Amino acid sequence: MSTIAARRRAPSWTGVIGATDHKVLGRNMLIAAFAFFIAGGVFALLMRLELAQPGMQLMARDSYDELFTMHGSTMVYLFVTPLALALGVYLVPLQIGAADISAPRVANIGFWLYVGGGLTMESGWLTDIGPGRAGWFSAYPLSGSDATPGFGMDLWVLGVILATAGVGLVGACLLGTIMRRRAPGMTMLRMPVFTWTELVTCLMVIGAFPVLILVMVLLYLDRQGVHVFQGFNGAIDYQQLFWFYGHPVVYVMFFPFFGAAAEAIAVGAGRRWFGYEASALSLLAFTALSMSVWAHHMFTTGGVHNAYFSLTSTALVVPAGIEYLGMLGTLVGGAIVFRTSFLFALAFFIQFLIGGLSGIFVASPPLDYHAQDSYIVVAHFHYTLFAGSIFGFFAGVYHWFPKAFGVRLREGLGKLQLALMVVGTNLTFLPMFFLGQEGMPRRVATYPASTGWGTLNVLETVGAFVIASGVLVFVVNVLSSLRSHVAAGPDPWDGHTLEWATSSPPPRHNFELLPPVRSYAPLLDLKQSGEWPRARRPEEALA
Amino acid sequence: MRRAAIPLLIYGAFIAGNATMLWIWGEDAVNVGAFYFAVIVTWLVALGFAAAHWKQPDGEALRERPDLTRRALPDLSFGAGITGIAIVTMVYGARFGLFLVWIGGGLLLLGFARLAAELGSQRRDSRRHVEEGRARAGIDAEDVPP
Ligand SMILES: [Cu+2]
Repeated sequence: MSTIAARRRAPSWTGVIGATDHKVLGRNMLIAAFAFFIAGGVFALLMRLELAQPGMQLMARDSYDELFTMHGSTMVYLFVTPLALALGVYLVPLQIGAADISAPRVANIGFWLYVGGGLTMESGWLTDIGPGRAGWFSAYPLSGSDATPGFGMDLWVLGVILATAGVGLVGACLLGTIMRRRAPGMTMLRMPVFTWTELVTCLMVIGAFPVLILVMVLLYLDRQGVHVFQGFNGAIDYQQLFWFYGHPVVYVMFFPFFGAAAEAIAVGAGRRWFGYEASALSLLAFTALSMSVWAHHMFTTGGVHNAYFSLTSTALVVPAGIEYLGMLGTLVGGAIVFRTSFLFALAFFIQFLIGGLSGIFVASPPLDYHAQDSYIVVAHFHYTLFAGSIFGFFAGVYHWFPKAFGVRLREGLGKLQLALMVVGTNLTFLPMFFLGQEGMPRRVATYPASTGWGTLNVLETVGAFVIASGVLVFVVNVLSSLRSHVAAGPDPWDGHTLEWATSSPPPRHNFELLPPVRSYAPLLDLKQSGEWPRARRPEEALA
Repeated sequence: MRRAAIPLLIYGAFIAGNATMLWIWGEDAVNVGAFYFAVIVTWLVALGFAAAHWKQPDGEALRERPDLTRRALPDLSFGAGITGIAIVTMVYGARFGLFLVWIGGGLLLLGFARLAAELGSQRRDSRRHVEEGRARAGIDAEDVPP
């Protein structure tokens, strides 16, 4: 049986400016983040085109500096971080049975600070000497007014302040929602795994984001002539404060996507998440450790205590291992349906593993001295930041798209997109390990032909365009699926959690009726006791 | 104490331990200071949630008596949107030109005025909603907490 999907209304301008419904706000944030993703992706493609051959072909060296700075900044501050919270803004109230997000007006202000900050940063492209070009972490004194003069760099600093403050406000609202708006019976140890990952994400946001805002205000003052960061100690202090934000944000850009992948794995396998309590507790340990490792980005500065930070960084493998165990335990004995969301989730765990394992190497100071500032580091953090976010994100998109829009995405196009992205990701980032090992430094616009690095660099450039074609397939999928007239219904995947107990898309108040909550898979409980209809799984439909 | 705060307290204790270990290890003030800042923020938030007594808006009654508890949710807050855009305008103006700071400041006042009006009317709406619900259900005001 199929029903006709309701017609979607185009949002009005006032509805965009003043949105306070968490679903509208979350959707707007997702759209804004995706727009910045396209921009950051174009910057990456331009860089890859320049690097495809030795020598300078497309641009001046300064332009290359601007591109890698704005690529990293756009992806970190304006795409992945806001995206991680946007998923939570949309889904957390639905998962915990709340009617709305806490302080929706504050969340709306946060959204505008984020978008305004992003536009502020990108408006640097319109200035005569271009946007920020001191790298996404803009280390001092390179980011000072002597080494990097100009209006565009100032706009970069102001943009970072605004965007981070905005995302921070949204995170605070989300934390309040999780702590104060849970439905009756929804205790902390009955929250879905995805909501748990958003909770720990918000804990890092409130602890680390204010420090970045502080250091950016100080950098701005320094650039206006107030001497803040002086000499060696000033440079080290800047890095200490920056990386105090810079490492936790890496986990902000990971946890929610892990949560999304976990939900897709559990529903795809038809089993509840294995070792739930251990997973929740290890998420807390994971988060606490990720707040304690920041100076591993500074091993080679000689200004930090390498032993402490190496110890904490290496200890991260323990909670990470527990989460992987949870994933494997969920799969074992499951009746797996290989949907696109499930496959993306599986790819997420496999691809991130390469990033995580290479992380153990760079967590060791002697090895890091070797890898520092080489393409090994670029390879490592793209496997964590790109693979460890994008694959989880798309697992979540394919999983929850029918909830938000009332129609499913096309599975065939989804699997094509997955194939392109897996091939593209490994083609782009795996050769970087080898180039780094051979000594290719990061942030260079060119390299001598005699190094023989040309072949691997061409492969990487091809890989980047394969990733881009995967993203294009996704855009086509969204546009064509939205025209579909076949309604997905409230529960297309036989889900486990509360968001599948309401209509798709949910009404303004989210729930007309809240089912009782007896575990972290409340809907699965009711289905197993026969109190709630099961959605037919495809293999049952065949039988 | 509200038990929901326990995970936050566990996490707070964990980072407090790590910060103290770093301090004993003999790091510089900026390093340890940033860490303790995060510890203090976390503890304040955790203790705030542990002590919180304010009513959960979507609490028990949403399931049993949605007619009594459904809050007036704001569908739209023009005031919030204007406030956000005003702040961005002012910050941009700090570097671009003072005129933008003035325009942003004006917008900010407008946003605040609008927010105040919205919050006032929302409060009146909620109160009326609850009273109507009670009247329909024939319940005395004393029986149901506001
Ligand atoms: Cu790190």
